[in-house]
Amino acid sequence: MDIETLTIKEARRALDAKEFTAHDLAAAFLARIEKKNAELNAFLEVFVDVLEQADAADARIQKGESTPLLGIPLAIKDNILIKGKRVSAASKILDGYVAPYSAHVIERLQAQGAVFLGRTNMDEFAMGGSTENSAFGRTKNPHDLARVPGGSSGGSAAALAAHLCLGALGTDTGGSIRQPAALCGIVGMKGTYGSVSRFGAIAMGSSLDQIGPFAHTVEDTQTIFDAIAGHDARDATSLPDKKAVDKKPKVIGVPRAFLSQGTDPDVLARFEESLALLSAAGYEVRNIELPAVPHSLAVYYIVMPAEASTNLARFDGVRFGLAVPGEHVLDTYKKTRGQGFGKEVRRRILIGTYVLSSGYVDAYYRKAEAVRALIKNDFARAFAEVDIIATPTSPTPAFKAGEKEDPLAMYAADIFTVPVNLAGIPGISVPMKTVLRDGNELPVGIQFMATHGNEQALFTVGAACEAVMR
Amino acid sequence: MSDKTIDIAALAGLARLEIPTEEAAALEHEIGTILGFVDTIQAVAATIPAPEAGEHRNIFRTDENPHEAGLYTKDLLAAAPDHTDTHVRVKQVISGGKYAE
Repeated sequence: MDIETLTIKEARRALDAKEFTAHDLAAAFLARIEKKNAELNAFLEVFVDVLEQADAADARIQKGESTPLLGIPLAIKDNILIKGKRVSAASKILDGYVAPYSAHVIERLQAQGAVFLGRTNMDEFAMGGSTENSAFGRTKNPHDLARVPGGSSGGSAAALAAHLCLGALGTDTGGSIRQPAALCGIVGMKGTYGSVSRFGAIAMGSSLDQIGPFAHTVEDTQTIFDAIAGHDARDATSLPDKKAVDKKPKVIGVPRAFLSQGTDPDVLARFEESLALLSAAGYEVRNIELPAVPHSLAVYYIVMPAEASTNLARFDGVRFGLAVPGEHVLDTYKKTRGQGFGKEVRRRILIGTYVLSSGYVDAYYRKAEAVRALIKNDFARAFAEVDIIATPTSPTPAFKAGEKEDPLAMYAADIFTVPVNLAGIPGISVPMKTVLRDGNELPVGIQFMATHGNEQALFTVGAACEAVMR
Repeated sequence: MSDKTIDIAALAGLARLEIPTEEAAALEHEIGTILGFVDTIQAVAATIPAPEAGEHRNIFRTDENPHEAGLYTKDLLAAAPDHTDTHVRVKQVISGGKYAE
């Protein structure tokens, strides 16, 4: 077994063929985590019952059972609840908190018999694009330890890229799966808004959040997505189950005017090369206009903090986690929240409070929602003419830790991923060829977007992209 | 709108957030810059007609089949920093002097 080249698909075949056991597989990953995690800080906790979970999977395999993820070791972002396990959203404010129930996605994966290795580091409450905002130290990029893995699901992305698991879950509010996938050289996707239940995920921006998979290949990514997607009555935004759209994508639209602003020339060159390869493989590549989409970042940095400040109001030192006692209950709230939340979280709570406050809600939040409607219309118009829209996933390769002290510079890293969340459409990041920085080959990603409910088109074009990159 | 002065202390009060005095000036500057950036939507938004209200419908699930009372009480109480056998315990909520000041 070579875990550096292993995929979920190959592990499934080998487990079913009894070439190795789920126990052997889990033990191999635990040994590698033991060796590598100290320098990467990808896992915040490795679960004590990993081998027990693997033994349970082996018992099912012995009985002749097989599911796509039976015995497959996965890493879970630290904002997704697993009953009986600690969960912290990488924040001090959830100090000591143990999940009293499991997320819907966890129940789905447990039903298949997946093995959870541990919980992965992230930007606190998923607020950030570099995994530097964790209360438990930054995660490093396996391709260059001086650089960030992206974020906010940087722990999951780094763990997979360093072969510390075979697949992982993240959450994506403005690019938090796709951007770290691009910066770590793996596949990451978010489905249509409502495709995966958020029951049991710690909320940030409720009109934007989705849980989604990371994997080494597009096929593995689809395997995890298929396991976690589907209706759940416990999430009011969960979509009803329906037959997937099955139209083979042929035309790729490229919003070149939007891409020209601030994209690294090397990233742009890799992007154009990828499009040329897809064109040679039979796809038609066409220019499209998305006139309102350049306003996405401004809209996002109103809508997201507004929703996050509302969601984070529940952390007050009364019902769970940290409590810093004050003289009276209001004092306890202020002290607990002031000391429990990190700097970026406090900043976003204040922005959210500002844009929702009386006198400003019309000027900011409501106007942002109006411009968001224009952005959705841009996509609807474009998808009347093309099957797929492509952009680079991130405008730059992985940047150095500490390089983006200015919040606005950090926010700009999400420019190509944020529109997807605002429109609620699905998006996937697939590795392109690399760019050279300081003697290191750094991965970069191409992002494909499709219409609501058309994840299949992303898997089809994503697999085609993988094929032409080989 | 970006030239508005931002009263960090008042905002922090609304957000139930204790902000150290030494952080307030930096936050005032950063939030001012971020609000200046997001203000770019004002010009676009000005050209959009007021949205028409859609059809009203109930988005909440029907209030039926409640779970058995007390089923989750123990687990949820266990998560609370301070609790008795049956209740979450909090610091004094209403105090004569504190809020009158």
